[in-house]
Amino acid sequence: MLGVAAIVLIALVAVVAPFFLAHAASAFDVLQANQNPSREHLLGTDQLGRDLLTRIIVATRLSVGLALAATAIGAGIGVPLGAITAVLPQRPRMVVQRAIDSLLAFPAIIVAIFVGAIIGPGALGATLGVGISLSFAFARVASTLALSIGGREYVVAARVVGVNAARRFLRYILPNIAETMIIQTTVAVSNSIVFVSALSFLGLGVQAPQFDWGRMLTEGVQAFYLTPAAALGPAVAIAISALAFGFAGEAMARAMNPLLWGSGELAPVERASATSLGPMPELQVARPRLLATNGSNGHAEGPPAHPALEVEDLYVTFPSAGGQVDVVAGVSFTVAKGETLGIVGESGSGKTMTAMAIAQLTPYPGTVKGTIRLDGQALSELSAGQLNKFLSIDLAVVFQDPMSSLNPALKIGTQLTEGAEVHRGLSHKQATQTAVARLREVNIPTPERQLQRHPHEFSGGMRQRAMIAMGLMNNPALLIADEPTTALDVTIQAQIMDLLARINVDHEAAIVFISHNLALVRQSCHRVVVMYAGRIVEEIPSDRLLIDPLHPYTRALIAAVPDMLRSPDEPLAYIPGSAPDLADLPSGCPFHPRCPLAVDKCRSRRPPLEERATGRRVACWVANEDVD
Amino acid sequence: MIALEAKGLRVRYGEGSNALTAVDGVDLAVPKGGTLGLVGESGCGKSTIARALVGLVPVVGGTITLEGVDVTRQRARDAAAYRRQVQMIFQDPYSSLNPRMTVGQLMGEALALRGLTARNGAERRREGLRIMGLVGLSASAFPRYPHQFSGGQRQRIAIARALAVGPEVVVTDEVTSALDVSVQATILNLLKNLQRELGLSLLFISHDLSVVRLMSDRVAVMYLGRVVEQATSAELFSEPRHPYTKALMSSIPSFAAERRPAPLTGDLPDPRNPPRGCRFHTRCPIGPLAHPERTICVETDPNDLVASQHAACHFADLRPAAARTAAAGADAPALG
Repeated sequence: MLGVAAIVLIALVAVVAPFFLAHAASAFDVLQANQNPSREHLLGTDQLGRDLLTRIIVATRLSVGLALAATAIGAGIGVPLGAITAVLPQRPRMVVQRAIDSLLAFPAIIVAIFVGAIIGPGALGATLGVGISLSFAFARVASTLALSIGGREYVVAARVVGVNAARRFLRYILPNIAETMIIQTTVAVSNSIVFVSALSFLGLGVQAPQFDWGRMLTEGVQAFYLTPAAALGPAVAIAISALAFGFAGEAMARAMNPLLWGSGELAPVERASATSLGPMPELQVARPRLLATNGSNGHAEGPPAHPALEVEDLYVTFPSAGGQVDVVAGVSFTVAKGETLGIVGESGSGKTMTAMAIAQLTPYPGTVKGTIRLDGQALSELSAGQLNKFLSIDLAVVFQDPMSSLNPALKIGTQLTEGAEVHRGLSHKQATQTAVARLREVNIPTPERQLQRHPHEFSGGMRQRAMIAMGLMNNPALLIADEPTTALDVTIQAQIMDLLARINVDHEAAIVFISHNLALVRQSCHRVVVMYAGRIVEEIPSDRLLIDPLHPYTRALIAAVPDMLRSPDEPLAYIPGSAPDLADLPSGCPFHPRCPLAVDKCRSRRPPLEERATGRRVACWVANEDVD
Repeated sequence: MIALEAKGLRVRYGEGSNALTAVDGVDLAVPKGGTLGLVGESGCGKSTIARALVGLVPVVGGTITLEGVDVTRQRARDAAAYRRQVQMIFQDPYSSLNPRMTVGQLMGEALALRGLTARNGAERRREGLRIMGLVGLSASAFPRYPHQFSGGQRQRIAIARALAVGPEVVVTDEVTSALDVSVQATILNLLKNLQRELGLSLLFISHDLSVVRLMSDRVAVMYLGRVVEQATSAELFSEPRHPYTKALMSSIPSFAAERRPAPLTGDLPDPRNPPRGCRFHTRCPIGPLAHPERTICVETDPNDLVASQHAACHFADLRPAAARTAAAGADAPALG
């Protein structure tokens, strides 16, 4: 806003001032020459006794006007030249790009001086010179932007629909580079104010008796030791207007971007008949073999003294335009040693944020409330140093995209051994031996050699295995795997799931497995927690998941899975409506607007998560009243 | 009746030693009014086939015909008439709609290509509304920008726009991979309904066998630029013949059974330098890895076998399902 206000002021001065002050600006009085600032002359006078402030104000029109003209020339030539490359065939595109690159190699001010010298000293030469020199930079930026837009799916989609090149250029490329080009243009205005002034300063630009800030600067510098204000005044004018254009550019770009206009509420329009949930499809269900069938510390005999992980009343809160939003709201669960707990839910259900909070990785500006205990130890009671050590030894996290969590600049070996050396005081040799053993454990062939390689030399499946190996370096008590196979092919996914199952047994690590894939979670976990709108709506042993899910959301999710058991001829059930807006949750049960079983109570009161049996909880008035 | 057909299709990216033959001699036929499912893992060339069929990449070999008319030349698939007949829907509805155009503008643009320009505005609006109705959206969507919709609604808009030009063949490339499972269900149902109502011919591309199974009449399974098995959906899912198809099927997490151990070891070979002979032999559970005497897999390319036995495999399991079950039963005691 400040920038826009400054521009408006500058524009006003540029338009209006010369009408009133032109005469005063050129009225000379030799007796008053080279005065320092005084009450009559706030910035002093020049060598002919003219008032400097008045001259600076009057010079605004010419200085800014020439800069604008130069920028217009630069953008007018450069943007179309650059942007057109996005719709040109390959050969002509290469030619244009090479030409732009070569011209860009010449420093702008040299080009400006060169063009100015050919056309001759004066305002026209300076303007053209600066304009042409700026056009190369415009063309380069426009070309880079346009090519990146040109590769976007929506431009490709338009081509498939049959939209011709001219229209793709005008409606797809230009509007989508406009925002950045506007910032670029206003920055260029500031540049060209400086460039034009510089040319005038060098005597190539505006000639007497005309005057702009650059010309005044020349004269001021000559008298610098007598009256410093004579040089500083125009310099400040140049700086302020250059900054003003920079700020204003960003403000304009923001205002033009529809993505920042805030999304209007749109009531979802669905096709009339929603397939009702009805009775569960008759699936022939085999009992899942649990990952770890170790009887000694299994969950079957009730929770041991210290579960590997206890989460109590966890809240994760993010600020938003409408106030605080709880993306995780009061989540509690435990995971026993050697147990695998699955967390399922759709996007926005809070499953990833729950995992991030446990791993102390909640992104800024989120805040976490609630108690997290690893092996009986509340994390909030640890000092920062203890916490750091605790997290790096006892906890391992595997993310969906292994590339984003491996450092591309470091060798795999370094990344594996670092933590063990720092936190467990192992020697480099010991740490390397452990790393080799772990890589072998996750089925990476010739581990000694792999230690010397960088992450980009690994395939996706190898990277994910390396991530898991890294997590296992210090025998963690808890492994959090957040969609660890979602980015991988199914045959690789099967390998990674084998690996997780083995870790669960061999290392007795507790695993929290987060996924959107119900079938995968059911096959791989002992217990399943279903989340909706930041809350647990149901907890159920995985061998009961298909037999008697109680929450209507769980049942709906199961019915929507296009499972291989389903008859391909009947339509999939789906959940009417869309996922709730966390900033504006429905009253009562957050699922009630989409629930086929909802009664009045569901609309007014939020159902508590009631324990029905060991490892069975459900938050639904209807389901829980069945038993009452 | 075949709507869109490719024979011996080859597509290559790049040149020289860096060249990648992404699609290498593929035969496909999209049945008229029916669905051909195309399934395979990343890098198998399925998306490249989609792009070649809609004219986004040129082909270096083979032929493409639409309703019997040869459209192999790039120019033929660039032509407006072809574009009106063959449309494509992309994976990510967040990136396949121009963020700077309202839904009304997007629809108007597509309808204009069918001759419904602003001059016959009333008719254009009526047609726009009819198509929006088909995908379950209303006129209230017209003044809005794509980012104001949920993922599922955006995918409906993308479908509506593809339908607006009045295509007969629609290529869908991973259209539900970016969506939640409950939303995926609505889009799959929608596509099936649209196919029934409009008689569309679909090429349905996905990495997910269970989705392909729901959608397809015929299914082609791809591996490293080749079709390794092609059959009717019923046949393929009840009697898979190629070991890769079997591996895919047992890798899919299903409600049916407990998780089986991973059927394949190792990763996908470098597609720039595919294995000699059978491209699957480096990972195949019935190939030279398990049976060193099966050298034919390394020496002879089984690509031609798809035509005769549905599966490009020298040791394809050609017994009918019943025989296989009996054999398994007979084997069981011996194994025990």
